[in-house]
Amino acid sequence: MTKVLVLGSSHVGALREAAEPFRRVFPRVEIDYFATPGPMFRAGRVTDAGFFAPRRTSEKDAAIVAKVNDGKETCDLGGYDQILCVGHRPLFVSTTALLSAHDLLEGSRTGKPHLVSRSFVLAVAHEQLDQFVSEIQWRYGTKHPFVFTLAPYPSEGIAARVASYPDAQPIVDYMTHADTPAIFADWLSIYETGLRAAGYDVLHQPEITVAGPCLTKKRYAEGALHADGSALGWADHRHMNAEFGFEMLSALAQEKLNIAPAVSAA
Amino acid sequence: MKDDRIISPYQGLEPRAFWRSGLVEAGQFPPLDLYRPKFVVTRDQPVMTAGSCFAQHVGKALRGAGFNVIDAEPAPGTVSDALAQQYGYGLYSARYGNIYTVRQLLQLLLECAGQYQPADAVWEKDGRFFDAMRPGVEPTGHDSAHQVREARTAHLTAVAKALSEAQVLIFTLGLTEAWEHGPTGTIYPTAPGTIAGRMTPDFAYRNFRHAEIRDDFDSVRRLLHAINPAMRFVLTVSPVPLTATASGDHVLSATTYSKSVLRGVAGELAQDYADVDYFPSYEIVTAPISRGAMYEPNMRSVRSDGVAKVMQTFLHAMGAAPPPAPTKTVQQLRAERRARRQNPLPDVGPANETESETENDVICEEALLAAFEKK
Repeated sequence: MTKVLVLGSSHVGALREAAEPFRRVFPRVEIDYFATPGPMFRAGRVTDAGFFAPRRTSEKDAAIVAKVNDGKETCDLGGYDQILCVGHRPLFVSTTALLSAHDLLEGSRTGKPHLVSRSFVLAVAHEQLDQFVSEIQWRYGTKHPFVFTLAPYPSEGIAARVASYPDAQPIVDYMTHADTPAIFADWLSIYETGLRAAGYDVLHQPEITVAGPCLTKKRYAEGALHADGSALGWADHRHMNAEFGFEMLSALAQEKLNIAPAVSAA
Repeated sequence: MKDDRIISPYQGLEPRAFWRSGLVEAGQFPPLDLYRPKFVVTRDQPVMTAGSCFAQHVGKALRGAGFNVIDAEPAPGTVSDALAQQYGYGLYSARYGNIYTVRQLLQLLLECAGQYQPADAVWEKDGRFFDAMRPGVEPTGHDSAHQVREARTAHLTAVAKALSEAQVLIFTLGLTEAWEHGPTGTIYPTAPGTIAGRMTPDFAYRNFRHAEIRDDFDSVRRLLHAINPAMRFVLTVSPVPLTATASGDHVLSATTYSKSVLRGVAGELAQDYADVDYFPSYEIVTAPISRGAMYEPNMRSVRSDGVAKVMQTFLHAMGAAPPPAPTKTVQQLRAERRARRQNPLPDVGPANETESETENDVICEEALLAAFEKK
């Protein structure tokens, strides 16, 4: 039996929802889950004793973590073949924001008042992602077999919300920008290279779920649940459903554990 | 009856007119009355800055003090200052990089006006292409010569916009030495082969003379007055010595020549024109009373506290800052001198010395010349 821990933020919810169908298709993989609200997860770190300790600043925080994780406030990382870390989100949107008042010199012309070189955009991405990787190293160390996967890309359905949700605008901007595919490919490569150089493995969001650069197909966001099992609002574009969770776990099993499905997922 | 008593013309002059009372016994350095501006630059006046690498400090300090320093090519998004500056953002009022000579400034203005086209304007290195007129602003170059030209066109549009807004130009004169494309006279900010490009017989060393620099500045002034007849100019001379000279002279003599000529031109212009002022940043850093203390150990880069002193003197004179705090009295300086005699400084400029990497660092292509020194 191969043992896996899925550790992360509320995005663990989609994977946990897929636990049962995954067990049927990959019976040789045993998965544990440990999830905390995003801010506690992202500010957590691995202790010298080998536990992941989310950042809790109050009794209330501790109670939330315990409630979601069968009474546990920390997670023992020992004994796992892989630890899938879900929910970190270095912001691609902060790279694409470089194009809010500038056109890419090497790219398309959209009438922006200035030009910026691809070299500068990549330098910015490097700077931001290097900082991200340094923080990951500080929080996680390299004693455990971590596989990092980004928080799910936003749902393409976010475009429908933009009128009532201004924060969606930067995402809609890059959805519609002709140079986004090339920039995202570069960005993802810098992200992966940085993490691998620091001694971590990387799992990309499965292609089947991807609608475009840094976008998830709308259907994977429909019917999503919180990590505690409660229903999300209709307009959530970040959290994904059990179908998405299954695709993620399936990719982990096949790509990182070299385990083929025992039965057809259908 | 005629008064035959001889009265010295120096009699009754202000204390600032005398070395002892104006400097040695002034109580602080720089003395508060070192600089009396001809005109005040106010916080709301659009200011354009340009010049050699020391000029980067001027723009930074003015921005920090709330002055309206034009930025016609702002860095996109939210990026660190250090990274932005590597790409020429935020150093000056546009991404023209360091402008070491007045001829270089004149060329830029003429090019903006469509009256000039630099020769050999794209330099190549290892398959990457650089704007020869500002090779440092894209450290890894562009994919093609076409992209260099396209970026330059956009840059010139931005410079023209800055010029149309500016009411004051603060220009730091840096060098007299430059490299010239012989057949056309185009002057470059760096020698071919330093960042990119290749030295060929077409390029020749040029050491500008006083009259040439004066003529160039007169042309600059005419061009800018054609855009804005009320444009004013503040000139300074960079106190940063030459990294290297191609004059054949010792680098110390070459530095003295270069700075003397620039200082002479600046002084002459300030004497001749009501709209041109000279601010003595050079004097503040190099004055004997400073004993080199405003330089880093490499005796070339200006220390951050030296820069602060220069800029605080300027801002105070403009009514935008309190006077620089009294620092060292002559007695203190003498005590320091005694201490230095007892504990002399190590030899200056060890071969393996590196430029300091402090917040105060500036982007200075000229420093790259040190890499060509025989070891």
